[in-house]
Amino acid sequence: MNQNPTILKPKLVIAVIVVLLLVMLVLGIDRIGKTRLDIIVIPENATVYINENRTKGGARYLKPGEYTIRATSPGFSEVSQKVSLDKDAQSITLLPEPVSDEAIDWLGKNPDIQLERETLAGELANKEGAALYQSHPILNRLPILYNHGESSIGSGPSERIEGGTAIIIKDTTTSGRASIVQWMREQNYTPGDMEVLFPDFVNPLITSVEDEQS
Amino acid sequence: MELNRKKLVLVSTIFVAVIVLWFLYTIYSSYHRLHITTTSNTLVRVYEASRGDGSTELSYDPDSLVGEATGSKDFRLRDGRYIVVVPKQQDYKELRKAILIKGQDKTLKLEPEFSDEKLNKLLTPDELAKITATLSAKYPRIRLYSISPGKLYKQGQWYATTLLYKDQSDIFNSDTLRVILHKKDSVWNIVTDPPEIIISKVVYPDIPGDIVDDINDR
Repeated sequence: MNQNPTILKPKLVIAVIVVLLLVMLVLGIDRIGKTRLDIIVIPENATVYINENRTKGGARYLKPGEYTIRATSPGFSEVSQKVSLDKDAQSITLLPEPVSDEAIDWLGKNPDIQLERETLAGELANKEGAALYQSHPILNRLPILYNHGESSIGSGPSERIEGGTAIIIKDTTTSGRASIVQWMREQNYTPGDMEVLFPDFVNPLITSVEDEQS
Repeated sequence: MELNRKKLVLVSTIFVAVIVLWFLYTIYSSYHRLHITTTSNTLVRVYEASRGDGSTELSYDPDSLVGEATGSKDFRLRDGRYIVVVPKQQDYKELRKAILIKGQDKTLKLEPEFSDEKLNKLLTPDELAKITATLSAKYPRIRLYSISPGKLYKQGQWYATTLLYKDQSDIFNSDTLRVILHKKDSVWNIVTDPPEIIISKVVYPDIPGDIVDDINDR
């Protein structure tokens, strides 16, 4: 009645191998025509939605197209990002901000996770910064000073776009500001592509000079 | 022996059928629906894009027409790059759009712009008076400026102009300002508030970029 275990084992191994091969085949077939998208999200247990289909972080295989990836986690802000997938694998990083005391405490008690979060946020900022300089090459040439520093064109934080960058033109005269804008055009730069701030200009339409002085 | 031959024929038939079905499926799946809608009942033509085009290139061979329609229509197209053209017609400018069909159905909304002649006709003294009244109500100090005649854009729902400072002896704050308004339900609204020396596409992403560039260059 007792079966010989030495005969059973090879059968079991073959069965496992066959099952594994079948799983690999099914997975392989399922991935045909799809592109890998790595979704990096912290906290790792955050719920991720791909076009409102609930999933989680990690590698996902999707058909080429446009997707909105959204991550939510209790105590954290919701973040989303649009992705345009073609044939090449991509990776996105979603870092919901802690908004509740519990979430902040949780990060405080998990310094490794916080460190990883900061590292990823830094990489993200560098990537976005590099993209900004690539799309607005004029930024690579700034600042430029004129008239011994009395007027200048530089860059700085935007006044109306959170986290944005603006071109800042400093000159107290109308003709000076116009000359600098003209210089931008001569460099084949379209002034309206970024926010352009003129801190020395007092807009007479909304503020009188007397108001400004008082 | 006979049985084996029958089996062989059956297996071969199934194999060939699978290959044929796969081939047909491949052809079928390489076609997708392009749903085109237009805001006006204008003629729309779809051409295959010329080979070697960049993503922004809008050239096509006139012989490569794959379909045309008046108004909205569905086109079933093989995966590839196409140029959708609304030819220049009375009151409308020519409109060209490149579209890539690849892996999924797409919808394209076409909004042909009015011709310059039509837009000039729409900018009546009455319309200008309404715009001036809107600006004056919002900015009483506009008396310091001369409002240039300005220009309508798109289907007449956008207007942009420059404000020229009257006192040109003021060397400090006599900059020309730019302002863009949008008409909704026959009411003009100031979009770029306040008027500025340079209007930014980043600050006002809802304003079509070509209008921003045009007014900034004036």
